[in-house]
Amino acid sequence: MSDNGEAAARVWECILCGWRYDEAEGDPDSGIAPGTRWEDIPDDWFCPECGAAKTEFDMVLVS
Amino acid sequence: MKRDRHPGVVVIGASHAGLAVAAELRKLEYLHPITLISDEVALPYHRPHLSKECISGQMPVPRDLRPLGFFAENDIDLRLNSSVVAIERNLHQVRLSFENLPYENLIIATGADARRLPEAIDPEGHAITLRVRADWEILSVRLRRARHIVVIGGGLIGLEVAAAACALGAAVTVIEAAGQLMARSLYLPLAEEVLQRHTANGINFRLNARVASVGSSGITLEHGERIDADLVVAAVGSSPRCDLAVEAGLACSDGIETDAQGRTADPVIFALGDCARWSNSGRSERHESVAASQAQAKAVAAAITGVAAPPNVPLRLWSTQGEIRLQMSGPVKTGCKTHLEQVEESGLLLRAVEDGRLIAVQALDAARSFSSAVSRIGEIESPRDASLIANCSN
Ligand SMILES: Cc1cc2nc3c(=O)[nH]c(=O)nc-3n(C[C@H](O)[C@H](O)[C@H](O)COP(=O)(O)OP(=O)(O)OC[C@H]3O[C@@H](n4cnc5c(N)ncnc54)[C@H](O)[C@@H]3O)c2cc1C
Ligand SMILES: [Zn+2]
Repeated sequence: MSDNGEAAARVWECILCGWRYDEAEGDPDSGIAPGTRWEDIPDDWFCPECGAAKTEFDMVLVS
Repeated sequence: MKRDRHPGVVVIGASHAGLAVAAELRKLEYLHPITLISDEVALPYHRPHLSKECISGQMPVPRDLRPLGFFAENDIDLRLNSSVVAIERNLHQVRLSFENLPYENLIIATGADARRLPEAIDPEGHAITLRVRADWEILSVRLRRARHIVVIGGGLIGLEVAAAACALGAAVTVIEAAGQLMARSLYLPLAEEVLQRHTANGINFRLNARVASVGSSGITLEHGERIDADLVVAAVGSSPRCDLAVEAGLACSDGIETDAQGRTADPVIFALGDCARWSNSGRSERHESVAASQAQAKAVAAAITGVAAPPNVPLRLWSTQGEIRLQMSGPVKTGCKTHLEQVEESGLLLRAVEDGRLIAVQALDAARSFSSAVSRIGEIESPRDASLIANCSN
């Protein structure tokens, strides 16, 4: 697992369906452990809601 | 492992809606058994891929909704290739071919079938439809052999298929009964732009046109025009799969009728997704989208576990038609003002305003502008904001 705690967890949003990937929560249903940084997610991972590719995500700022 | 003897939840249908309820129930720490029954053979998959990446050949098969391991990890008993043949409400059980399954709560997520053309129009059944994976397998073989293709229906699926066929080099004609494309999901100004772009790519259109007959070598329109085709695809909407519910005495009218949390007239039975007609503040509607299925799944799981219903969020719909990418959120209503503006490189953003409030946002090739505009749905749209957005577009 990667260094959570150090840097604040970031959130990425699928531009198609709006589903959010929160680094703190990961995507355990698809085998991505909580704390996994965006860079460490494999390129063949995809949006669990709409199936969009990793490249279809944008980082969002969450206040 | 032997779990408790509580009958738990039985879900009929394991696609977007059924699977989402099962996943959501486990997220809410529902402890009892969950059985998911699917009459399809394949592991649940992303249905929208069928008419997009799969038909164009960019994706060899649709992606799985969840990896196989998900079901065991979450203790969800997935039964593929099995059909529920009856709901026995008095016994609180469903009947499969060779066994009965008891339930405490039953969830009907049977989806819809592609609507077929009336027999009077296509007596020999030449037109093919696209709904499940098996349909796509047939369609993609036929598409690659066909040279002249007629697509009946200028809605989301029809246009996706038409654009893919055109990219493969076939001559494509789309027949649409209405005066505009995608009338259910697009406002007219954006629909006109979509029509122009597809026309520029070489697709032929007949709007305000109705098909009189389909034969082995093409179709005839009501006004007499004949169009030759070696493949005819009918994309004329869907009909909800309500037969089990009707036989069990549950109220149905183009969808199984439910309240705002998906409960049917029988308090232990819920329905959601494409098969259901949800009522909400006096209006009832059958939603047909992945986002609606997922939002409804959250509401049903909350009702079953007794937690507060989740807040309503604007639902999104998307469509990829060749190079054109559309995104929509919010209802399509008559009588509201629309503003269309150029954004990003060659994108368009449409905002629909009713009584001064932003009610819908639609985008063509403008995903980022869409995302930020969606978050303003429901807000008062001041004229200054509008010019601001227009000025900020780059
Ligand atoms: C080609 C295509 C493209 C689409 N594109 C988009 C898109 O881009 N964006 C979007 O938001 N939506 C899209 N949709 C709509 C979206 O796929 C549906 O809204 C969604 O699939 C609804 O999910 P559902 O689970 O309610 O129904 P379905 O996906 O229809 O699933 C119902 C399942 O129940 C099974 N079933 C039915 N009866 C029984 C029984 N008696 N026993 C066992 N199993 C049974 C069926 O076989 C099926 O597997 C598209 C649909 C199609 C067909
Ligand atoms: Zn997504």
